[in-house]
Amino acid sequence: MSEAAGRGLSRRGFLNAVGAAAGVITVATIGETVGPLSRLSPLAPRRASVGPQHLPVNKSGAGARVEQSAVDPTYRLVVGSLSLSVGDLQSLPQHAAILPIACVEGWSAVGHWSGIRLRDLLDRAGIDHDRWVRVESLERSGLYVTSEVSPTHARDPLTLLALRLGGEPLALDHGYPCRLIGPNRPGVLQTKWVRRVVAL
Amino acid sequence: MRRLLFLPGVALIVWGFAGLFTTARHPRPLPWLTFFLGANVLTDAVVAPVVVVAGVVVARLVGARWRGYVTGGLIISGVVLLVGLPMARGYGLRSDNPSILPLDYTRGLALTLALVWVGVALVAVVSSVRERLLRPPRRSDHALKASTK
Amino acid sequence: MVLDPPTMTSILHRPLPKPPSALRRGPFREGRFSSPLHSAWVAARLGRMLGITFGVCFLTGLYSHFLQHQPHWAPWLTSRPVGLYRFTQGLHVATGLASIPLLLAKLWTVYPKLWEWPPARSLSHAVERGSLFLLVAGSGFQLVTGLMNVVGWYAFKFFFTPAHYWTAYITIGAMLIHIGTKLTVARQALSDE
Repeated sequence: MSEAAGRGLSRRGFLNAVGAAAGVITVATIGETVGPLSRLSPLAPRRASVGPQHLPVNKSGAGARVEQSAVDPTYRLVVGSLSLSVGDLQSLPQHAAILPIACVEGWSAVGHWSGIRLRDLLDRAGIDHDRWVRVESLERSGLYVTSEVSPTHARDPLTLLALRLGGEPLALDHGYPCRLIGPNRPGVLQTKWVRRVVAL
Repeated sequence: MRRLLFLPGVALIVWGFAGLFTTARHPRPLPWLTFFLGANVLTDAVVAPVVVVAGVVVARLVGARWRGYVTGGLIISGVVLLVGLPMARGYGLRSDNPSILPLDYTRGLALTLALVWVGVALVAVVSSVRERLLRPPRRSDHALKASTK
Repeated sequence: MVLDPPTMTSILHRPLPKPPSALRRGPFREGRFSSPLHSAWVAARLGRMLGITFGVCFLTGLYSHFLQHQPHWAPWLTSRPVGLYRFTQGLHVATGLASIPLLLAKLWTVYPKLWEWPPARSLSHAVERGSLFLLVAGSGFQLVTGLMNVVGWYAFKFFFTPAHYWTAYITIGAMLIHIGTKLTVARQALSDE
């Protein structure tokens, strides 16, 4: 350390400064995924509690251009041969799951979801246990308008077609009338504004 | 060892270039190249010379005693600015989605920088006090250290 | 024509003609960089850290890629633990952001090497510097586009995910070659207190 006092930064001092810089950057941004630290993170690009229904979103309903199709009274969710209105969906057995949205951009936040288990719907539609399924959105274009669901994910009791978030109907930005939400799945695959589920 | 790493290294590079320009939704070469080369040019032609100049300026303006701490503080500040400026400038803001960049990042940046310099000042004061307590300055002491370096 | 290995090696290591010394100007001049921080001691330590952070980014990135494009032959990419992806992706981004100061410091530490004279001593030296170019460009590309994606700043005219994914292979490949060439020097520098 005496070298630092004498003639500028020592080698050790330089490494410490670089390490400190890495540490400062980490603490200043980590709150976007570690909720309790969000107050320490003035440079977090997201805050877990900020967004519609206190949960961030990546793509809004307006951005996906589903403002009309999502609230259209003729909306039907098609699963195999089934065709269900929003009322039909609400009358099916509802289940709850506490699951995070974990975005590829690094932020994540937990939501209290409720809706229909995907496996219940697949059973009703007579889709076999070992089938992969594809979930399709009302959204017309983009990289993530559909997502594939493996049998393990599709049959997981925590995988829902959610109708509600935090006890309220889903906000349009969160995928009204219903969205896919499953455990250990990147956010871009938690397809919103679901219109169709097909067996592959 | 050299050869053991060389072959997988070449294989990964070839695999990367092959995928980069053949697979679905691959980037067009020119925009990709702009960022690939751009990063190189940015560090070598802009960042490095700026750091060199900053080093010279600090050496001129700051006395030897505090120079190390000031340099350290500048290193941290530079990185914080680099990461925080795109947010403070609001480059990712979207009018239809207020949950992207929801905070006041100019304030966040100022706060972070202020804390960094408070930290630097603390470290500087604490270590100079400690140094004075542990090693009373004696010429022979310095000479001894210099010879063992 | 196929060359047998000994001939190949001798061609690779044969000294190249020296460029005229009149060209050795500006930063190419001897002793241009005087800071003691431009040293193998510092470079090796920063390099070790970067090796770790880039390794973490690469593995968590691969996990993210294969969860998003789940191959049907990979049933081990399961739905449990529930929050695993949340952890790996948070780690991916945090590690990438922390790599920014490490990479900048490393590039600065070895900056004099950019102005090495002569620029290429032999073919193998030229190849090594070429792979270094890929490493520097790739690392910069990954950290810059990654940071831009984190703040939602889409100023590039390509899809982020495929570009970031494939460039990762180029970067890590070049990093393996770099580790191979520097292993002896780095080991020595690391054992120095």
